[in-house]
Amino acid sequence: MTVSVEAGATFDRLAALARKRSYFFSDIWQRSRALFGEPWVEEFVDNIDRLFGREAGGWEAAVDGYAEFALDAMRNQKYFEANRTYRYHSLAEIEGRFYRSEAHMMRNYLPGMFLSHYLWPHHFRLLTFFREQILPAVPAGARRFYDVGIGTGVYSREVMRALPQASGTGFDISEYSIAFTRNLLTAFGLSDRYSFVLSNIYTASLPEAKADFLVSQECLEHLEDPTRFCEILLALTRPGGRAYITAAINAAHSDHIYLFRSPDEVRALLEGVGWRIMTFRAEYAYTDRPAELTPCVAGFLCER
Amino acid sequence: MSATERAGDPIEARVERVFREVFEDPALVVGPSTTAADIPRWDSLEHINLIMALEAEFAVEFTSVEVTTMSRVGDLYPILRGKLSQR
Repeated sequence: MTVSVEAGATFDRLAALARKRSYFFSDIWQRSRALFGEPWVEEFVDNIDRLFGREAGGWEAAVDGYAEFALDAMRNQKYFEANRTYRYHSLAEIEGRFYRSEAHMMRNYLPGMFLSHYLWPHHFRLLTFFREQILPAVPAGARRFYDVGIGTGVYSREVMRALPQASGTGFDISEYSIAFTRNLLTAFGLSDRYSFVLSNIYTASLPEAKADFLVSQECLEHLEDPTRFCEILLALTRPGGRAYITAAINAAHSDHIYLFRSPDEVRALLEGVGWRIMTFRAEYAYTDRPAELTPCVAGFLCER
Repeated sequence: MSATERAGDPIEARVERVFREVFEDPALVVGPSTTAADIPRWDSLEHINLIMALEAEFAVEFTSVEVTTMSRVGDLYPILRGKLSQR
């Protein structure tokens, strides 16, 4: 596929802007382009334009947000490599410092995380796996979809696009994740069928209606009690319904507090609370380091 | 050379010494205009190693903006002078 001249030129301008504003965090742009090719360029440029291209300074904000997000990950990964533990271990340590900070969430964390879904090869590979193998496995006729811990809303966007007959609900503890996801879904014309619940899922009253399909993407490592969380996800899903649950493993970030050391640990947790694992995929950030020091993200298709 | 002796050297000399240690090149010469184009190994991962080594050498902490906007050695000198002068 040949990328449109316009998309290619736009990407080149974005990459040049990244190089100018954050030189050492810009090389990944061209590396990912070389890795994933021109369809990736088209999609990446479309997303940047829809989310960041409509406001003055939007591109700069996206580029800067990604650089700060990447720096945060790298600094924390260095800490993890030296100490074999994450820096923080409780919600109390991170909630006020990060989730309640508009500046951190809207300028750094959420734009950066959104771009990482495209710029980080292991994230984009897992997104591709979701599109190609998980979405086709959503129960036929699924009409109710839940996303618990919506983050940037990327996976809600994928599901809502794939299931035009479904309604979706996103649950999150952060008003900023909700705002970002609302913007994303609106930009793609998907917001009419989607609603939000701002709550702590551990303490909130659970909806009586159960999901046909549920997603919780890279939430477990942010939690003090991921076991209880996965029990709640089970309770939110109808018998026979399916869920796609992912976790970051040996992957440090400012707000990662629960350390999973292998995909097997995540699998054991899920099966321990009653999920049946149908398939899974683990993607690693790089291949030249020991596994126990390599950031990994693993996704599990589960059935209740 | 002791930490005290190192601390008495000019900032530029101490920065160069850190670069030599991080990039494992005792003959490396760096100056204000030195960029990653001059040091092939100076990529994003080594940049973090360099930042952490500089923070340890000077007992300072760079802000995220300082780290992400840095592109040449010369960017370091005024930042370090500013931080050291605040003590």
